[in-house]
Amino acid sequence: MAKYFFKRLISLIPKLLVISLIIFVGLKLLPGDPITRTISPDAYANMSPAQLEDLRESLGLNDPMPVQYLRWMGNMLQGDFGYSQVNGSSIAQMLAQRLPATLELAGLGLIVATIFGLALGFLAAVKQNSLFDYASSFVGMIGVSVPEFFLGMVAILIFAIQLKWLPPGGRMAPGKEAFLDRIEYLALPVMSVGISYTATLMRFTRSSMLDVLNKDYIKTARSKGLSEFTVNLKHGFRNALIPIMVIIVFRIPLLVSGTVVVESIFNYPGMGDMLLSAISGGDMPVVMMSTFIISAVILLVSFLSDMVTALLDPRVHFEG
Amino acid sequence: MRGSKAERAAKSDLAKRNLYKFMTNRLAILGLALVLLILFVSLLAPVLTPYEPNVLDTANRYQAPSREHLLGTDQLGRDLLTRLFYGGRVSIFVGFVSAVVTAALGVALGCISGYLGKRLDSVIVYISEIFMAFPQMLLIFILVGFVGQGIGNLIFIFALTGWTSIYRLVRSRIFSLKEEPFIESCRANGISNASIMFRHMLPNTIGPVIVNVTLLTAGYLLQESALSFLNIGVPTDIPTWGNILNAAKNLNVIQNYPVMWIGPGVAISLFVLGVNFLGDGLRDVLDPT
Repeated sequence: MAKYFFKRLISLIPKLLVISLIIFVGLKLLPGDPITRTISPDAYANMSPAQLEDLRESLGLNDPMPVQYLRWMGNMLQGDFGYSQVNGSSIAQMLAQRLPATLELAGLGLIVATIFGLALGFLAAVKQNSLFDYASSFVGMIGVSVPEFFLGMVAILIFAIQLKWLPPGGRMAPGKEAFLDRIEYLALPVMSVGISYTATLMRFTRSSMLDVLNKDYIKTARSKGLSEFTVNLKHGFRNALIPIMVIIVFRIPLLVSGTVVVESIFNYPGMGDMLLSAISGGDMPVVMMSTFIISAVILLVSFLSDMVTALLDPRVHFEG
Repeated sequence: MRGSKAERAAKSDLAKRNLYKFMTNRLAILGLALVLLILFVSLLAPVLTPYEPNVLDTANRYQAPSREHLLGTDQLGRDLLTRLFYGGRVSIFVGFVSAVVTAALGVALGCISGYLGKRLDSVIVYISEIFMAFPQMLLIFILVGFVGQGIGNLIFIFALTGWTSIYRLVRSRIFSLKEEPFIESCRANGISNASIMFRHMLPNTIGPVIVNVTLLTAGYLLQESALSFLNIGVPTDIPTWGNILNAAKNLNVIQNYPVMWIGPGVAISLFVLGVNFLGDGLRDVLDPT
């Protein structure tokens, strides 16, 4: 197991390197003086051209590209992500403020959607062709077709404006920052982020379960006299889960893009908001670095879910 | 002669059977009807409505639905129903053309990679893996930042970031087709590689590709509206469903003028729903595996 774990962990490194290389090349292709992205703008404004040239030399901006790349990577490992081109704030600080909010929203969305998607899909398959099955298929089709932002707007209209149950946006009330106080702010965004994920997962769970329930070993389990519950859950569901895990991993990037959109409707102060203002303001260093961090997080999450799959599937041999 | 006749008969029989299978699939027919209806209304927009989508009428801002303006008017006095019709044209155009361009790119690379194999194959596979490591939406964000907004740019970006799934599909099909006797016989007859790839193998992979183009159209339409909704998609002076929704992105409009945003939201949902039903129906017929 440990060997398999490390092998997969190491296989992440080349991917990360390639992504970082692309981001680096992209940053180098940007128009404008690269020095403005390495020092704060206040310092830049107070320097003469000769001083700037010295600084360029000492910062290594005249060095060959591979050297610059290695130094850039080194800086990043130490937490120095460069500066915004527009307002000069440190990108690392911006990320530190915004990333937790987004991870909270996307993570909760993922957990809630996975639980609901698996449970509903499981029930629909076990009670195939029942009213529940048809109803959930119908709702699932709608969940896949209705865009998140429209759903979010409808949710605001119903739950925040008409019923006044939940706040229409924001992340927390002033002075109330505990997680329990924030739940009412998270409820609608998490629902909007998770709904299409839930729907997709439900459809896949249903078909995967139906597939498994037709297998011979399920008949064997039944004929041994095991209870229906044991057969469905231990023999059926556990095997049905394996292909579903792939879908879960595959859809995570879509969850992230959904989060960006949903943050914008609910005025949720996360990465989405920051990314969007960076794109419309032409603040490419911020865009690229945020992308890099999000991609890295996604790679890490998919690695973790790979591990879960391996634990679930008795056929995966860890020596391999 | 007789052989080809029998062949034609068998083919038309298969076509008939497939058509029957499709026509008896109620959801697929419902989807087809929805898609056709929306397409029809969008294309006939100039006939169906007396208004222009971009003409301002500041005397009639925020009108409630009335006989003159069936869905009312927006914050600049433009007729909302008219904008909805014209918006459908652009949204569907972007979705469909992007899907076709994506498929063309994926199919071409998939054929080359699957048939010619070797070094070229591993290079293209590696490139596709890099593309897949980035979340597509983020890649789109970066590219929009680089090339700017616009319909053409959006189509280019969608195709560049979305080709990997069709590429993988075609490549794996071509891989298994390569071992078939009829391909061997093509090669023995001295037919050129290009001709084998695109005239003999491609038609055998086209079914699933068509299904994918349908579903991609829905996916791209959703992405375009999300981007336009976020103000980084189609420029705001062109009406699309996402742009109409974008104008409604504040609490005041959400609360007081629901007609402004419910129309385009429902239009997007119905179109995507229709395309999904249609795609599922087509899959049953064209891609039974």
